[in-house]
Amino acid sequence: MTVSTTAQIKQSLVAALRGNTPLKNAVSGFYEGFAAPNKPYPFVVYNMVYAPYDFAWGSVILRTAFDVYVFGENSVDANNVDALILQTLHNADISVSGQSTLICRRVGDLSSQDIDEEGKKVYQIGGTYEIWTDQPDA
Amino acid sequence: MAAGKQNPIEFSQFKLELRRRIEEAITKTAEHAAFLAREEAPVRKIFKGSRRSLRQLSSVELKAEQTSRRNLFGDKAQGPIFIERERQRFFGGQPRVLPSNPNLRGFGRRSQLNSLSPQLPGVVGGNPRQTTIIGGQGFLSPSAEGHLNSKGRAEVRSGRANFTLKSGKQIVGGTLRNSITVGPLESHGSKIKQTVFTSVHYAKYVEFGTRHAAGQPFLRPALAKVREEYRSRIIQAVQQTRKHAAAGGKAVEIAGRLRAPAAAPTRNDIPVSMEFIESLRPKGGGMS
Repeated sequence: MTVSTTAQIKQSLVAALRGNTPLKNAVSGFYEGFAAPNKPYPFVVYNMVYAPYDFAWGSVILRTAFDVYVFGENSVDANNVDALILQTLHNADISVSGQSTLICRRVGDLSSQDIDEEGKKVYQIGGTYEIWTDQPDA
Repeated sequence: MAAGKQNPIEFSQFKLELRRRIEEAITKTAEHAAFLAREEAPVRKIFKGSRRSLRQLSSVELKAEQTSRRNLFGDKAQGPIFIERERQRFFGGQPRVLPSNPNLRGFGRRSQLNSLSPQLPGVVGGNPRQTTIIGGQGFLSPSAEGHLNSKGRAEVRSGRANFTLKSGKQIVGGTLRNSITVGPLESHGSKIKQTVFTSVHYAKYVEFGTRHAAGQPFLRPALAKVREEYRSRIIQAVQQTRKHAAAGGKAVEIAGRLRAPAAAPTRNDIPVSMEFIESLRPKGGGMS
């Protein structure tokens, strides 16, 4: 059996985010890594942090972590969107193809400010989510 | 279980030994995490093609460089005007416009010197992966320039990418990587903590990303990698203490009781042999 990778986990994470209609309507889009300069606020950016493989007793556990941030001109809007993300992902039963999800949990917060290319102050609010999945060893 | 009459101090000695081993495990794990974080930390891409390393000329090499220049051009070889005059005298052609920016004068002079004499020493080092640049801010040898991309040239000329290692060696790039350090061991009651950190101000932007750039995490992946290692080091520390206690005589059950107490043992229930306590004492002195 082939060991499936973090690509499927990422796919499920994005599918879960897009599946939340209020969240989808509240943001301009979901982007990996960073968004292009012309994208309107608020938007969601996700980035993989780590994904070590833990081989044990005939199975592989992937402990994947993703940073999921909201960038917004308004801190209240950004916080509201972040709350929607938390509601969608924290302790969510997301389905990953080829893997059984053990946990999906928020494990850290981040709040920061930045200045965009137009000189506007933007708020970066979000957190780190850990997703543990299990699958039979190859 | 033959608990017998026990001295509370004996148990505290056991705890001391266990704590010492756990602290050692934490320190080793933190050092390994710092090593992994240094490997993960991104270094600014300033080279064209494959990765190379640049270094500043040492004072001895700079002196040799100055001597060679003096031998070639005499004591007057000081300014760009003289160099330009010499260039015209050797090669002819129209006089070139000299750099007006004082920051570029050194570079201009250096380029012209190289065009006059390609045999000048210290331009490219012996190591094929190591290119030498001329010491001092704003100076960059043309040979080194060939290996750098436009960002790298700007970084080296401005001196922003210059970094001094703890050993005193001057290198270009790697400020973030070399700033990752292990903090001192802190203990608050039963909690023991050791921090792996970086004091570089832009580290958080690299770790978490910004509006303009994706994050390139280096600290958290290192932490994730040592998570299992940390667990096994702690288990090893307990096992070693248990083994040590067992070697002392009757204290085989100490670690077992610590791991899975059958019925809430009191301090006096745990047997610790005097041989074990004696074995903890440093030779030729008392316990510190």
